[in-house]
Amino acid sequence: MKTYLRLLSLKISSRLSYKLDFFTTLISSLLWSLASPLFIILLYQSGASYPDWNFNEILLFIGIYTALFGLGRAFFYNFFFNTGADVRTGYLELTLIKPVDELVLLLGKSFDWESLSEVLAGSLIAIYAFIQLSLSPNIFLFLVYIGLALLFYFSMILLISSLIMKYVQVTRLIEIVERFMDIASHPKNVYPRVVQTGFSIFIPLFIISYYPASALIGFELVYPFTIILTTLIFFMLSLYIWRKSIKNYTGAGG
Amino acid sequence: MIIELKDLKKTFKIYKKEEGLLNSLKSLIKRDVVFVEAVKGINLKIEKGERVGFLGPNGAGKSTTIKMMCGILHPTSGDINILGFNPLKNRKKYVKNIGVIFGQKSQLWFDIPAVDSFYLHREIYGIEEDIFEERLEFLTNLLSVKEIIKRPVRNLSLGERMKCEFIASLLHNPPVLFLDEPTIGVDAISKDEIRNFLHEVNKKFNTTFILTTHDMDDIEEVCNRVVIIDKGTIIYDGSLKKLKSKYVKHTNIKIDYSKVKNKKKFESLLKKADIIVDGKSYKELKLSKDLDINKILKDIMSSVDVVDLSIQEPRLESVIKEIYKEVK
Repeated sequence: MKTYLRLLSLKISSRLSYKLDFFTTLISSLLWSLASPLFIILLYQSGASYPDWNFNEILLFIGIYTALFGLGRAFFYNFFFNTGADVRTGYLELTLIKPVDELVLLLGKSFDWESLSEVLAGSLIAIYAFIQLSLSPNIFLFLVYIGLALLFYFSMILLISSLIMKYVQVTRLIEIVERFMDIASHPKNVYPRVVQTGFSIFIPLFIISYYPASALIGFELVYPFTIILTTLIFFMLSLYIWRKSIKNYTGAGG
Repeated sequence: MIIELKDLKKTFKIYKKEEGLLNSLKSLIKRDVVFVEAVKGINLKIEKGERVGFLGPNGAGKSTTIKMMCGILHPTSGDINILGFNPLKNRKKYVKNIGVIFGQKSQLWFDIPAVDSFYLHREIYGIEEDIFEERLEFLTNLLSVKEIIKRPVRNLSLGERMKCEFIASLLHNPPVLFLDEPTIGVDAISKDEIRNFLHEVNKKFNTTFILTTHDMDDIEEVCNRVVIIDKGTIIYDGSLKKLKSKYVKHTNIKIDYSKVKNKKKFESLLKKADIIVDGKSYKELKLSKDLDINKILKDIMSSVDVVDLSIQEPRLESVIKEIYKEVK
């Protein structure tokens, strides 16, 4: 953990050496993220709505989704690109000769400070909606779901990063994964029952937004514990595949 | 003995594609697989404190061997035992005991001072603060980079950066240091400083060096043993001295003289040699190693008035070229 924190501080120091770029990225990202509920506001103003979700509930959902994706982007997203670049150039060797788990080093180097603006924007939206709703939530379950949501995000990144060891250049895969995860940007109940079940107990996609938001609002959840188990199994499977694939690393010549 | 390789082999699976767009499209459906044997059964033993130069033409299998020894690549078969570890079974514990420098890959963070990367290494290797400070002081003094380490790496020259790479790799005082072309592109003065530094480190800590390079001066000035690899097998393993005595087939003698005292003797001497440069009062001769050089020198001194005389053995570079040609 100390190594990871040291890496984060180096990453920030490194980023701060280009001050203007750092602040412009931070501000533009913050403004862009704050605009994310605009579509929902317009939708509800036109009289349309998501079934069973009132305006503030959906705002809370959007806030949590934005904040969680911001966290995912800040801590895990670049892992895919950095691993890809390191495999292509052979720089992964420098990671493999260090007496620390390669995931710690790769994750530390992949930290994207600017994405925390999405977290800030999402949190502000969620806090606003939460206050409007005056809820008495299950905080413990909410926090468990948040942790698992991040674990699922990381698992997806880990899974596609494992393919880099074999295929080297798979850049577009991240776009497919992102579009896939976009499914979670809408409440679960807008989808057919088969999709709801599939993405709750086989691939725990709805852990990303629906489950933490519902725990906060107090909705009755289907498969509340199965999804915890599925997420953990999904993570372990991704980790196993990653560990297997790193053994197949063949270097980049010399 | 701290390093032992037994029948080490590595085969790579390579996808082959013929040139052209049509073949690129074909390869989307079916790719031809080629198995390349990069390392074909290497056996090697290295003692503590040895300075071993790994030589070989490009693609000979040097870097693959080194990467297997570092625990980066998994061998197809064979055994590796370094410092009592199998690099693959306990990678994290093993790599704590080695240092690695890749001349073409930097382990320093580009936008921040090198000293910040050193503190990261302290964390990674779990070095105690006082020991770390002491080593940093020793290494920076030895390389004269005390102020340089405070500048962002992107502002350093290649020589300065390489010196910082050496510090980063030695902060945890590893008993074995792997160096993969560490002086590539570095200027002559920095090269000298680096070589002197390696001698000092070897003398003080008895560090074992495994060095791959194409710079023969690195080998001559740093190594006491040479391993030559070609097509995945070791074709020579021994001291530099033995290598030269085995492969050096001639000696060059340059004579600058003012007067010929004994023409007949001098002419008979010239007949024994290949004349490379034939000046009026200057000759450059190539003499077979089988001839008695001492006698030749005596004959020169007695047949001409010598102004200047020098004897040159072929450089290691040309010896190695000869060996590469021989195995081709």
